[in-house]
Amino acid sequence: MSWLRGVRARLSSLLRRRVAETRMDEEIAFHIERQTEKNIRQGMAPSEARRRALLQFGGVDRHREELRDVRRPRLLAELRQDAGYTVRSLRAAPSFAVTAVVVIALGVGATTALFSLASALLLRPLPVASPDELYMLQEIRSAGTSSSGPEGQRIPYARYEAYREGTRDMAQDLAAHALRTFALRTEAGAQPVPGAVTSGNYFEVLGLRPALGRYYATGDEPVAVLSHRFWRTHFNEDAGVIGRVVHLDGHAYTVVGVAARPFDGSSVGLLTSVWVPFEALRAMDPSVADQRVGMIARVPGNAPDPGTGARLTALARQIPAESPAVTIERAYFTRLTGLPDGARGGVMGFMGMLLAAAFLVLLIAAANIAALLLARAVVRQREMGLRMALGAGRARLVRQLLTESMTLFLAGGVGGILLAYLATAYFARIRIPGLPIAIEAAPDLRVLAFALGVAALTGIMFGLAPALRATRTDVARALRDGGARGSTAQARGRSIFVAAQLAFATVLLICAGLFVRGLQHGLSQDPGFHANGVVVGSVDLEPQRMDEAAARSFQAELKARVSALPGVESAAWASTVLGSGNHTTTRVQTTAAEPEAASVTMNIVDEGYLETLRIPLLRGRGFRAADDGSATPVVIVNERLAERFWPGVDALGQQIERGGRVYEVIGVTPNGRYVELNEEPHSFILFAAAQEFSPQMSLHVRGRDDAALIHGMRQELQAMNPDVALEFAMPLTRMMGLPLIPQRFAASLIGAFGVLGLLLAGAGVYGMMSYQVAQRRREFGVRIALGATARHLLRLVLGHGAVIAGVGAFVGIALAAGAARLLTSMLFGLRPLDPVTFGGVALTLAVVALLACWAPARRALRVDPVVSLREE
Amino acid sequence: MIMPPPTQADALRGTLDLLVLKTLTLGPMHGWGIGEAIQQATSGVLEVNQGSLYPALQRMEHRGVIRSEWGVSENGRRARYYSLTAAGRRALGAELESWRRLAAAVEMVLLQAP
Repeated sequence: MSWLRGVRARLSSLLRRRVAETRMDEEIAFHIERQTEKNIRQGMAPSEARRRALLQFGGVDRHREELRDVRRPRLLAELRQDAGYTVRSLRAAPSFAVTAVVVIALGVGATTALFSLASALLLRPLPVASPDELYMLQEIRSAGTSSSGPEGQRIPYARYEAYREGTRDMAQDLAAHALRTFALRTEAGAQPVPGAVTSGNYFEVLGLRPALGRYYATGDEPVAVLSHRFWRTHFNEDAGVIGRVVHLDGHAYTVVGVAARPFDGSSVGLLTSVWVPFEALRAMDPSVADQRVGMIARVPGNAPDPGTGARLTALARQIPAESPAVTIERAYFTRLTGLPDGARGGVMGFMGMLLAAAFLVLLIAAANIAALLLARAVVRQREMGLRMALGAGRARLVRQLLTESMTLFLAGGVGGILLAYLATAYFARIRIPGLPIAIEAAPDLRVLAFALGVAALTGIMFGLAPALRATRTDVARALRDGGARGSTAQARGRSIFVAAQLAFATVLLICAGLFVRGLQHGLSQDPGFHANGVVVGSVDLEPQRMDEAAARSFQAELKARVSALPGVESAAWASTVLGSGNHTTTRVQTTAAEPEAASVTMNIVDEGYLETLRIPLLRGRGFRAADDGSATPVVIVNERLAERFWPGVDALGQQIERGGRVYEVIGVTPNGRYVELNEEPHSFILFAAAQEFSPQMSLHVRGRDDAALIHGMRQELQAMNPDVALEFAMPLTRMMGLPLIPQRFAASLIGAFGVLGLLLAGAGVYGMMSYQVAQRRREFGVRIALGATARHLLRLVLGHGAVIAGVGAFVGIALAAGAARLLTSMLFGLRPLDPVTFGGVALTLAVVALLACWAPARRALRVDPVVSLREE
Repeated sequence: MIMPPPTQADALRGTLDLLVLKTLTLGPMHGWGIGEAIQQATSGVLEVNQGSLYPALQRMEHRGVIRSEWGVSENGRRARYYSLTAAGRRALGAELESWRRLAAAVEMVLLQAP
């Protein structure tokens, strides 16, 4: 345990510095005094005696300093030495130092930015008081009766109220909330605003303090709380907003408070701009009484009591469900993470993939620097030999070299943190029109620790090999040969680092290529309708308390007004926008004696729909205005449904049943892709809008000039009712792009990583080949003198480059083939081993490697044998 | 920086530790006393460089061959007294041995016939 004693001695030496300092002063004073006395005894005058004593001691301050040196712990002293050495040696090679720091900063920055993003989505607790005490209350219900959203599972509000009463002994309190888009009345027409209706105790359960004003305490006052962000963007941070009345869906609410930053709602990434109490809304609009809500419980302590699950389940079964068909199997608490349980896995997988790509960039950067450090190790062999000859131990030298590489990596880590800040600031500015999304992922302490940890770890991993290499020196040989010549082992080490860079860059490029090709593949498939030239806008009449007739006439008038706008070709209502990722399914069956049933994707559309979206009919006719409530109920089916229900028989005139109502098939359309690009053809059915009613419909308008159409739709809507907002108003093609955002993001990010990796790897190849050609000048000189031809020399140099590029590409392609399988679900049906992508990347790699070898090879050709032989 | 006038020979480098250890076999002594004792024992031939004495003492204490404690000097002042430890006694034996071998070796060289 001698090291332990050593540590203790050092620690106590540090702690006792002050004591030691006074002891030293006292000892010197004593010495001078005694010397002075002695001098006086020898016959000097007192002042002279003291002067001589001081002189003999030789500078009190210098001695103090020397005494301190003895006392200062050795480790610290050596660290200071190492640091000084590092500074000197890096200052001697500034371009190396700068290159290394920048390259490492890129690698660490990529990793840190993505970790920050993943941490914000998955790890970071919600900005509320004691977030680890918050749970969602979830139910496991009989099939088909469950509803869920970003709030988690949603149950009727009345059920929540029963839960709140029943859980008083299990939780401190239980709150309810439901996301809802409000139409905010403004001078420029109604504007959709993402909001939430909540129970009165919502803010209290979350333990939040308002930035301004107050939160509502009871549920029944018609008041609203704004988010800080919304207050900033819409009210210019005007404190006078308190007490002002805002109209949401036509109801008047008094603003009473502004939530404190950074609370943007209890769902990660989804912004909530305004909160209103549910009970107040219900008092104004009884039709919302069965609003479904998610529940948040605050359970103080580490975890709910062990028996809580059983008691919750018993309670859940006592509370009458909304329909006798619903049975509750179990109820339980699960941690509130801000993400619904189902979404977590998907987000984790996606972020894991991006983080893995970023780690590959980091590995490339680190391998790049390790190759440079190895080259430096060769150059410094003589220096190392000399230092060892003078008695430096190997461990000491390794530590010194590690200090140097750690300094580089930590400096790179700091640079990476700066890059991560820039990247996350960029992420936070990403806005998707129509979607209330913001990704606040600025690095926090956890992320900073991650960045420095990653930098330090790679610094040790990739600094150790070169350091060990540099110090594994035969002292005598190093000094005799001048040392500036690499051994074969060294060249091999460097080749491995360079080949690794090529391999990792290959993986990145292939993955990015697969994403791009997958998107192209998906987009090139015919969706079965023409989206170009169509704009859509959604209108929700549900909050307007209109009866069906009023809503129908409202929809009809809006369509008529929009159709009259200049440049409009046709317009149509539909309950679902094809390709937007949303869909509604319904259960239908044949009317045969033994009916065949199927769950199919449905849409409620009016008579202009097929024409507006240019959906062709294989047989039969489209809907007409005459197909109304008094006429025979009719449907249009796609080929697949027709073949499934009536194989080999003409579907026209057949009957289909849904919810007890019987419909006649009047038309058959070809199969299409209705929800997403990558779906297999599936059954689809269209109902006539005049026969089925939906208060939430989207107006599809075909015409010239998207922007003018959207503006026109908005104006007509405002003229009709200032409290109805046009939501998700955008060209249909853009709407269809929304589900592709993850793939696009992945494609561009991994693509950028791949290009960066390829550049670094190319620079690595170039550096290594240049160095080797310089090393072998003498050999080339001899070869030329003995009659080697240009072609021979070229083959010599390029051959070596080709071997490294070949090994790198081979390993990279093998790794990528494994990775590609994991991506299959995101490739829209493209084969994961897409030969175009793999071949294209291999070709790119070959070209880059050749370019990187070309200049060094030319240099080898220009060696003048006379000069190179005379040099040594 | 003020340098002491080089009047007498400094104790041979590397032998200071040996001289200090040997001197301390006489009993506990403070720094000034050690310097005086060495000077007197060599009849003033060797003068201990006071600048190297105190660092050497600290170093030796750090190594554990001597220890120190406060005491009262002959003239009634507080002074730091150094004394040998058991490890110091062993170190003295070893250093004496190696010094004798070195001295003998130097002697042999000097006595070589021309």
